[in-house]
Parts: sequence; structure tokens; C-alpha cells
Amino acid sequence: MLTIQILPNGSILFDQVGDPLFEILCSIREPVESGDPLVESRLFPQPSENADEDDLLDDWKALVEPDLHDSFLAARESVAADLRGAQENSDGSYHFTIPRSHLDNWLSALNQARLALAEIHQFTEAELSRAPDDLSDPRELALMRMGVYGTLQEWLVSVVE
Amino acid sequence: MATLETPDIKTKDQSDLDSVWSVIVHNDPVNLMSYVTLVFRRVLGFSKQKAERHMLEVHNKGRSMVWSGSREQAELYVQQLHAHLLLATLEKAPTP
Repeated sequence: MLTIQILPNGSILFDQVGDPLFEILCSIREPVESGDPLVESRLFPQPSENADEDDLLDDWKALVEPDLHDSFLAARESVAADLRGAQENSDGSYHFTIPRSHLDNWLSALNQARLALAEIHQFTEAELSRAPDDLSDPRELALMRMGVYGTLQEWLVSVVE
Repeated sequence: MATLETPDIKTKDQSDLDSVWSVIVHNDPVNLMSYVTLVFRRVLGFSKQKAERHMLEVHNKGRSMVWSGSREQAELYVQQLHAHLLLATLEKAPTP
């Protein structure tokens, strides 16, 4: 059974992580890096609803978006590095540690993944509050992944608060 | 002989700089309520109570004005809110 422990140095140890959960965590980058234009639009929204603000919109695209892009990518890479450090237990489960200094990267990467999955599958608000059904359906599987990422994100928020 | 082209420098309109600008956060069904509250506290320095009040306003009314003041600062706040993946825009506050 999955165990989560906050270590004295503030790092978080995940132990007894089963294969399915480990796989879901390892696929955190995939929806964000799918190249879907809807995902791009959601991760890089416009700073104004006023179409007359073309100078602002141009500056934003040229100056702000590249920084945001780098920061989002760095968060995903930090999460991937933590997961690459996972070790297999004798029973086939995994354990890994999230250093305290990486918690914000996890919050960002989990949020990026949830936003991306919602855009790719165009989930409605009602769908987001229902349990997934047949997991052989990619859309239902995506809903389940959103739930897993959301549960972990919610818990990490309570840790960093 | 080479000639230097006049650079195309755009400056913000003085009326833009003098105006009051608002930072608006818009609802989206994916961002967690606890996460939005955390971001308001971190980026805008809100107390927990104030952050929750604005988070609920976003959730219930679709948007909340979280800050108003100079355009430069409004742009900076919108940038920081985008860095936390919130949907935020700036808009010129209506003149009284």
C-alpha cells in the first residue's frame, strides 16, 4: 500500500508506489508536450481581453511567453529527474523522494498536466466531478489521470502552506 | 556610406500610464480552489481569508478583480499569475 512520509528535512518520501501509479506519474509530461494548439493557448493565455491592446499582446508573445515556456519546462524536467531517481523495491513497487526545494516544480507540473488533459479531451465542468468509467477508453483514462494528479496536487498544496 | 535606420520605438500612451489598471482573475474549472488560494497569497500577499474570499468570487461569479493600480505593476502581477497557470488579464479601470 502506498505510503507517504514527510522527512525531517522537509523532503517527501513516496514508498510502495505500485506500477500503475508510477506509470501515471511518469507520463506527466506527455499531455503538455503533445503539441496540441489548445494546450498552448491554455498554458499561454493572452494578458488582455481587449483586442486593441496589440502592442501589449505582441510584447507578451515576444518577451513574456518565452520565459514562461522555460519555467514550465524546467518544472517538468525537475519532476522527471525525481522520478528517474526512483528505486525498485523487492516486491516490484517503487520508492522515490521529492526534495523540499522541488515541491513548487511538482505543483506546476501537475497543474500543467491537468490543464493540458482538460484541453485535449475538452472535459466539461460536470465531467470533471464524476468518477471515470471504462479505463480502456482513452478519454476515461485521461479523466482518471486528472484525478490522480489533482489528489496529489491538493495534498502538496497542504504541505507547502 | 551606411545609414542608420530610425528604430521603431513604441512608447506607452501617457493616458495609459496615468490610468488605473485592474488585474482580473477568471474562473476555470480545472484549477483547484486550494491552489488558487495559495497563489493569491504568494503573488498578491493576501491573508488566507482575503485569498479565499477572492477565490470564491472567481468560482461563483466567474471573475474577481484582485488588484488595481499602475499599469506596469498590473502587467507584472498578470505575468506572475500566468506563471502559476491562472487565467488573468489586465484592464483599464473605468474612469469615475
